[in-house]
Amino acid sequence: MSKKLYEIMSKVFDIDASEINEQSSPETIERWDSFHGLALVDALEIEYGIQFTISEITDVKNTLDIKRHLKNHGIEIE
Amino acid sequence: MYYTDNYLVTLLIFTILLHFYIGRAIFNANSSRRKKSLFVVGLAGSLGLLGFFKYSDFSITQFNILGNIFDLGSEISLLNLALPIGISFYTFQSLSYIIDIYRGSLTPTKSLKEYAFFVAFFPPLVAGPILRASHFLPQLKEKLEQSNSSEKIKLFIIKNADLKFGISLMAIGFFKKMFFADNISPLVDNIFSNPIGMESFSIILGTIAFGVQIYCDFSGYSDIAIGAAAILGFKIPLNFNKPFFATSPSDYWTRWHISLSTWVRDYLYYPLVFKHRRSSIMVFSCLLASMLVMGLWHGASWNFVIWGGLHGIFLAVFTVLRKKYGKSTESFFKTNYGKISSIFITQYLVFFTFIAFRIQNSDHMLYSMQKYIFLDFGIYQTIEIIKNNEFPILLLILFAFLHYISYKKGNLSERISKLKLRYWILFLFCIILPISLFYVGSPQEFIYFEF
Repeated sequence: MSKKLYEIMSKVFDIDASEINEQSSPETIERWDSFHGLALVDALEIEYGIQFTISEITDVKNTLDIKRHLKNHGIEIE
Repeated sequence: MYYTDNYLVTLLIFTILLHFYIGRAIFNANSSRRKKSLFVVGLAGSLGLLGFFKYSDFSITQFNILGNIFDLGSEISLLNLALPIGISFYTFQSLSYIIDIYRGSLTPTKSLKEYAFFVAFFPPLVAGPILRASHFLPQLKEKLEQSNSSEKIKLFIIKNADLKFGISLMAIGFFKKMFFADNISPLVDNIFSNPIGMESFSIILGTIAFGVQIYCDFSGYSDIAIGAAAILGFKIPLNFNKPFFATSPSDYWTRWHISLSTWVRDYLYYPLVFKHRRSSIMVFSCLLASMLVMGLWHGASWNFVIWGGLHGIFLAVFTVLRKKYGKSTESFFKTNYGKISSIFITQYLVFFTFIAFRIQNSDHMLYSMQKYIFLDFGIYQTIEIIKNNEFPILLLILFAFLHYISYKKGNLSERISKLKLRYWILFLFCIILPISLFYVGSPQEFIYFEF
């Protein structure tokens, strides 16, 4: 399941999926700014059929946080 | 002009009480409608105060200008209010508290004393960094639990490592402010007091000097605040992270006044753009609006709005260009030459915006911007300015050298605090000596006290 998430992130941030891990963050991925962060939110919502809240969007510091919020929506990412 | 009269502490007390009780009421509200009403009251209360003290004279002036254009009759008198010191900072700080509660991402504290401590915590009170309750209150709670809980007066234990680190950082802050910023200021004033007629290179020199001055002034204050908090055992996030090495406009805003840019992102930009994020035009419009508001936050004057607007435009254009040409230019920008080019281009744009930040007079601003972009290649006036301002020029060169070293070596303050005691004292001596040798006599106020 991580593979699918990392593929989405790789497409949004234009990097290899192999460069992404749980600690990946705006500090480690150059294109992870607020604009691409929103694009990622959009892509995840479409892929998983969910809707994030603003508090979830502002509570993302790294990929692990994304996994945590997806889990809150019933999407288990190992 | 800002004001520190004792009665204005009532504004701070009002803000504390308003948000503490509103926060608890929002949390305990049993309907979303009641939550929203209370939230709006909380927002209106503090933004109303901030708006009244900071923007009423600006609004009256604009109204009078429009009145003159449309011949509406006599003008409204200005209130001539002085800005209560720190109001922009503690208002934003306490607003983030009730917004987080409203969003459901923070449980309000039950202790008024703890909340008051958070809002009125003295190191960042007057000029930031803007704290988040979710980050600060757990630290405070832990400290209070560690202290002797049976006593009314709580004791904070100061650890040796924290003391050394805090003093090191405060020393660096004072050095930036009193040695660099205050001694470069005369050069900036010399050029921008009346730039009309100045050569392009003089304008560029003044812009660079102002950029360094404001960085040293503001990041110096942040270092002092973070250092003082560290002595007391509190970790406050970084507010500046080598912004002059930013490789793009978006990278710049992860490095300059980080506590404000993240506040605007989380509490203004994201709420504005949330429902419209699938439309690129709306995303960019919300980005521009957020940057305009960020500009206005700095001061009730159009030059700050222009400054914010310029940053918004640069951010938007950069995002579009990267989307279109990012893949084809990626390999170039990964090279050393490419990285240096991206730093130079970014800083060229950033320093251009400093012209708007520094100059309120529209004729002076337009002239300076024109000279910055369209070089006249005149040098004689610039050479005279350099000859008459040797010390500030030397400071600019020294700053560039030290800043580069600190960029390459990483967290200098951490390393300095781990020096053996005799070398650490030598470091302090090396900081205090130049400050005292080149003390200007009438110290300049921190620039950001005015915001």
